[in-house]
Amino acid sequence: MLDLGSLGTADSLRQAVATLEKLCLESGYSAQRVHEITIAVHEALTNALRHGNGGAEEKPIRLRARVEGAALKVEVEDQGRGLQVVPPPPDLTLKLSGEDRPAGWGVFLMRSLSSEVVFVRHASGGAVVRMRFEATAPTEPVEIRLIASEGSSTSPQGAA
Amino acid sequence: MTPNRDQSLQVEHQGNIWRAILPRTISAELEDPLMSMARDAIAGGYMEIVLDFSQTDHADSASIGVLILLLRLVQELEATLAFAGVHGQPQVLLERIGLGQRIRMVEPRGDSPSAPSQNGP
Repeated sequence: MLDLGSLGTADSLRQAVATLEKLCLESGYSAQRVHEITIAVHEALTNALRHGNGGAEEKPIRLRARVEGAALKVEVEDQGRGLQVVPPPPDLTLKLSGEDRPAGWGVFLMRSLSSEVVFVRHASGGAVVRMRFEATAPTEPVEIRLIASEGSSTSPQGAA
Repeated sequence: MTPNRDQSLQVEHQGNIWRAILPRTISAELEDPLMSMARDAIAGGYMEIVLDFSQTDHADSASIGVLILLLRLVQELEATLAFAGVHGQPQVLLERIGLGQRIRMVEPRGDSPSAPSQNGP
């Protein structure tokens, strides 16, 4: 069980990922899978800082992780409004040709490397992204669920 | 060579090869120095650009954006780009987004990236 609150700075997020990496290794995940998990969680944390908290490092971010059976469950909580619209999957060819911006990989990596991604927006403020990691990554990016508040899924999004 | 444990960019030259040894962690901060130095290198006649990841053990999606910008620049200036020493987490990241399959891989040191390249001119 991992519960790291009061994260906010980029350095603290990196340290949190390093702590999660240690938990994963101790839990028996392969080196390859640990890399995949930490990539996805780092993207979630970075999104929490940049988008959820608007880059304000004084706003807290919380990382929770626990192993349940063969799965690792991770939650990243920030003070923002949550993901409003699922971005389309990035097209590397368009990005390489200059027809699309080079950035925009974070959500794609999260849905490509985890077995479940749920964005929850709390009515009282703040947002959580929940990810579940099995022993291996999915063969295709998973669908993302957007939930306006606990208990009511408003706009399930199709994967592309 | 001294291990590149700080966040600076180290550069080596050999023939017409310009090799940048990337730091331990790469992210968006890489953009300005890398793009500037690579542009100057190509202008100076170094037409083969090699990014050496040997000492890089963490990359994020923002660094992917930087690498895409560099590849665009290299193509625009009719130079070539190769990666060397990609391993661990950066390798997983590059393969997952498909960039690892688009860029030629060469040995970290002493190997000329002169073989035909899909991303070359």
